[in-house]
Amino acid sequence: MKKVFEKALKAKQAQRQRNAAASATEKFRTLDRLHERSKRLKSGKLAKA
Amino acid sequence: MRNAGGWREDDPAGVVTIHGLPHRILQSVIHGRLPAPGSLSLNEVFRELQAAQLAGLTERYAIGGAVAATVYIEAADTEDVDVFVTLKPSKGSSLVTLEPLNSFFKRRGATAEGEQLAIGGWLVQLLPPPTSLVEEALDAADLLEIEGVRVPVFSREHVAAVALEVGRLKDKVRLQQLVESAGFDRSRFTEIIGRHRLSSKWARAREFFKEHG
Repeated sequence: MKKVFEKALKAKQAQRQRNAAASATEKFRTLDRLHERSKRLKSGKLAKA
Repeated sequence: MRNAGGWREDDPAGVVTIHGLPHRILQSVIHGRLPAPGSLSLNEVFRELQAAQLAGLTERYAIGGAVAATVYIEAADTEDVDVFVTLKPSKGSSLVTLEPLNSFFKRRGATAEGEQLAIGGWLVQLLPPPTSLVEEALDAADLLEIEGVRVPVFSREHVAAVALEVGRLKDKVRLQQLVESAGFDRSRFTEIIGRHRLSSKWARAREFFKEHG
């Protein structure tokens, strides 16, 4: 169980590093998507879609 | 979903459309600003800030907070865009207010949301620098170019120092990510926090990081 958890944590850290290494434009696109998703979630539209 | 007039509908993706055109694009057409297809909403904010600068309304400005941190670490959802700005006094007055800047953005389609402005779907908070550290961060901002728009952004080390100074839990998380990020200049950070008497706060933050892994 501990090994599974450690493996998942390492994979998550590697994913974070890859995400952090993206260009500023790409990251702003991600921020736009997150923001849009958050707004839809708050308005209840995401649940419907 | 149509309203009583039958002219407005929400498509399944949640984009409000009027006569088949996304509301955001229609607004841009009405106000004479047509965004490039597929352009960033955040870039609308950046473009408006650049326009205000070109119109001579701002002396200096730079993006801080979570949006600035996004340049250096993994993107994380945030509610608003913090823009730190210094202004030029109006002609014939020594008084400096945000009013001319707010009016400029409203004339171009922004709407007031409490003390913030809604631009391109984002809430923008215009703030004069509250501390000498933020003042320095404004002076030392890095200049990025995003889709043809010049965007001044706080440096990695200044975003970290401001997060340390503010010190909420989310700022501590951001601080730790920045300090551990590739390209973080620890000696520059140490100099900045030394100048602004934050060294003991940094020592406490490191203890906090040790305790909370």
